[in-house]
Amino acid sequence: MSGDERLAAALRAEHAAIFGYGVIGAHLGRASVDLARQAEQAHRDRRDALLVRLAAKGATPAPGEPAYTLPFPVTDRTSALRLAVQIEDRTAAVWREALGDLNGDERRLGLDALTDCAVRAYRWRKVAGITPPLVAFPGKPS
Amino acid sequence: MVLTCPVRTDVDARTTGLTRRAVLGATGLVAVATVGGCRWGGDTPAKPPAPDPLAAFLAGTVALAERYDAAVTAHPDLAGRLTPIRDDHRAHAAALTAEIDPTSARPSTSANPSPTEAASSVPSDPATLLSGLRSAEQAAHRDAVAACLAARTPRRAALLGSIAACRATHVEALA
Repeated sequence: MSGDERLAAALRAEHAAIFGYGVIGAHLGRASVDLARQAEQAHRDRRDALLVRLAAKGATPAPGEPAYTLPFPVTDRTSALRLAVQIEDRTAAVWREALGDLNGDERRLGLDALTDCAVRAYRWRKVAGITPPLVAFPGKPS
Repeated sequence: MVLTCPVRTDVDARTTGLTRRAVLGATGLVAVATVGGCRWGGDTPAKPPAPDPLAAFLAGTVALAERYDAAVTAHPDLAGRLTPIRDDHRAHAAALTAEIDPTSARPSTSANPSPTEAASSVPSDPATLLSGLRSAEQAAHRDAVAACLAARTPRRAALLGSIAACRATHVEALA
């Protein structure tokens, strides 16, 4: 896959992450909602950076879908936190896979995104009481 | 070539007790093989292979894991917090060992303290210890970022990217 295709795949993942956080927020208490808002904003910022970069390269970035199929029903705090962890893990995986096809400042962009996803996944695991909250190889397919 | 330490292809080294001794065991064998090449190869001395660019990074990773070993020995009450981080570093060391061509693995250990020295330098104050480990993780994260950006293969870029991201979570866990 070319670097631009990797960036387009990452953009699709960021679109999906933003949608997911929109579902999660309604099921969380105040402290966790703040965490979710920060996470959603971070994904929006990353999405916007990707849109600018792809447009500057002459690509036509794909818009987000109106809706995404969730991997499981989100009905309460537990399932909302589980989805938050999964969003970050999946987005991390897309960015991790992209690294090898990106160079220079684009690889740096990808590495920063992977790192941010890993840190957020760690925070969500702690909030959800998932042990261990640390993962040795963030983004690596299990 | 016979290895004196296991080379793992599928790494879940939370259970792997990789030590610097094991790494040096492998490289010691390389040195012997090189000398043998000189003796039996005629007039032209065998040229040692260029060191793998990841070898120094591996040595630093092993040293970091040993630093946690020393910390847990000195502060058993912190084991629950520090052991998972130590295990991550061990898993990274095992993955790096598997990634590096064993015939060119020559980790430089000159800059790293021996385990005895490391143990004797563990701060007695837990807050000072944790602060020092956090600083070490921040420096290690910067090293991993640099190594990832310099990686020449997709496989290494992904591996080093994961290691960099993991170290960032360690910084968070030690805050």
